[in-house]
Amino acid sequence: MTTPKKTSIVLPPRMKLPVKTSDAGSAEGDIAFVTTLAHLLEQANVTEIEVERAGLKVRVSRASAAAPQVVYAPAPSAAPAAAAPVAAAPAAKPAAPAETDWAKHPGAVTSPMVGTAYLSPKPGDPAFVQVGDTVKEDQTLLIVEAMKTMNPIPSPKAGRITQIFVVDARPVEYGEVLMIIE
Amino acid sequence: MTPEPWPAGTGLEVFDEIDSTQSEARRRALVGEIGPTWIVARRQTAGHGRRGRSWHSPVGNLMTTVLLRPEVEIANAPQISFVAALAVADLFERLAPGHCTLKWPNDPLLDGRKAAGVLPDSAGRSDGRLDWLLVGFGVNLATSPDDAPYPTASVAQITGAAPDPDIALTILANAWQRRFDAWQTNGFAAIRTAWLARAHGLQKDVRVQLPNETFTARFEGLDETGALIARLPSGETRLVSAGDVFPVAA
Repeated sequence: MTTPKKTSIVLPPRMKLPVKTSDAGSAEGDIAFVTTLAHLLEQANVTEIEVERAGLKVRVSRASAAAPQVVYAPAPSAAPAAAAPVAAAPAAKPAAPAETDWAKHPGAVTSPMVGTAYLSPKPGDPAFVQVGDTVKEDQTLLIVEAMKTMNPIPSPKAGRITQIFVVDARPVEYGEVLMIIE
Repeated sequence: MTPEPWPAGTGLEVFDEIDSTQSEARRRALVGEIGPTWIVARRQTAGHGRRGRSWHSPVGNLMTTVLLRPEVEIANAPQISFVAALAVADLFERLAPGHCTLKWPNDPLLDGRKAAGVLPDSAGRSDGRLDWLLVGFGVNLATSPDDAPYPTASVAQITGAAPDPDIALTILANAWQRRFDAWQTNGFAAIRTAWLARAHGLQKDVRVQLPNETFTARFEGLDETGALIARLPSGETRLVSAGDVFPVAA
């Protein structure tokens, strides 16, 4: 790869990072942050973004002149299949809800497979659902990609979306809680 | 080449021109068509691949989508990539014997270059099973794009003659039915074995591309879900379920 050109960019006013500053340093927050940068890379049409924040230095760059890759691979197989990445994060913040609480929630929607989550049908489209939306049973909530197969995840029941844990184009584990529907 | 009959009980709809067979099949699925039905187009005006990428769809190539409503658990739906890729491999084995390999997970290659695309799509139900399933196939019979970000090939480049798309469709429809029925009856293990027998770059180094990292590892096989088993130089094993995998130039 040739030496990429570094470019400073400014966040568009309507774009908010889906990661709270307080999440910085957690594995969950770092993954979401990097994923967001990968999206910015695509949308801003630059070759590289470098950000330093709260002791974390991240550089994302395009591998080629082609579209940037925002697909993801799962965590190493050594991790237990049922454990969500957040459970493995060291020293979870006191404010962060424990993973097991959400997993036991009667409205928890869990991932049926290891893969990559997509919140919209294709890049640039609106998200399937947002927090506060009312959904019908069987309505598609998100897509989980595995083996290049796009798998729409249906709502198990009618209700209202109260939590969305997944970030677009980031990996999900088998059994990981994706959303809460109440 | 022995002509095969069209699979019994299977519908066929032919369009001279359409936006895309995948879009037509989806429209039909959404209004309740049961299938199995093959939608085929001579020409597509809006052929597309995964995540909205465009697909080269000229007259002379095969562009088709099969619509069906099988009893398949959503958790097993990713295995369809391997079933569909094997059906295309069966087609290529008839049209250009000895040239087809499969790149993980569902890219059929001729002489190491991409010669077809497979596009599964589905809707799920709240009981954890599929409501409907579409599998789109784009097969480079006559021509292949020269502006793709990867090497491409067509059957005509290999054999010197473009096969009749109608004959290719019948071979593919039969191959799909055989592979799909075998998967439903016997499970994924036999599909995995058949796929590995055609795997491109098995036991060789591959480059695995993720959004924030790229690593090189030895492609050691498939796990029981179809994930690629990648052995790092350190000896550590990683499983790749999503991501792009490329052969490393020797």
